[in-house]
Amino acid sequence: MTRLLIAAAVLLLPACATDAPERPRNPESTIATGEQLEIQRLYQELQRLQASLSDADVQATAPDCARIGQLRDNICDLAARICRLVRPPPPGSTMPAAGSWQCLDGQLRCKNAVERAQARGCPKK
Amino acid sequence: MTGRCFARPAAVLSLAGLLALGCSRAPVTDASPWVAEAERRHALADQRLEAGDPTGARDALRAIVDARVPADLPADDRRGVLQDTYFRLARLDLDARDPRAALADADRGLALGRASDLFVANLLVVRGAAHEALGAGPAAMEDYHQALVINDRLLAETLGEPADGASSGPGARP
Repeated sequence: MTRLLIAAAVLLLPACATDAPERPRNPESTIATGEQLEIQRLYQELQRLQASLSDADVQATAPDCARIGQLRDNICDLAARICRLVRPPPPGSTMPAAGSWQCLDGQLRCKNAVERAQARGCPKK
Repeated sequence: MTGRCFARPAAVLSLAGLLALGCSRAPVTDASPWVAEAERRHALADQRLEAGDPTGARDALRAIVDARVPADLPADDRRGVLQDTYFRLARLDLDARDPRAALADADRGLALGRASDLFVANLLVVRGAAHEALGAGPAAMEDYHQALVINDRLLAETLGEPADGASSGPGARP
């Protein structure tokens, strides 16, 4: 993506230098060449990327910590409930304890949720 | 233990959101009064609970699910309002130490659809609590885990992560 941005910026630079007197154009130059189409495509791509960067900025500056915290707490609360219900397998059984997979999955998701919320600057529980 | 209120404000907000959406739609259908009436009955249930009258609260909520739903109401709006109501009814059942009734109400709510949203997650949590109260640990764990996965998916959406960006578990399920 960086390469694309640089390419687009380089291609856009001549377009900004419009102070030079306009030279008469050859008839051929009015027809969009492959290169011009590529420039147009890159310019549109640049605009799209700028728009998505703006969106990302908004999201990065104003995380919805109330909702993020609520969801994080739900995840961790549910993980705790699941793990509380895990019972050891019967003696001699080679099978894992019922629910141990959900417990482990829940604990991992809880840990990740806490880290992701912290990364957005949301206060701890 | 009846389970804490999972994202109840969010559910109320959603209901308010449905109302707002209803107001912005054109042409206006018969659906908006139904949603407004549901909102009013939820508020009435809140009042009855605050007054220590769970029976009154239950009656207010039961009237929502017993009423005829307008045919032109968008399916998701109908599902959201009814699932939120069944969730509250199931919680009242648990508070009244009637897990079988809670199970039945949660099942009715879940039968309306299984989207990955808080309405469904809340119903799964309350059904899990009902299973737990009935001594059905594995079923409770399954419901809690499904609710957990939905909450994780919603967190990923809220954080603007890619669709597959939700934290994954320990790998393939055995």
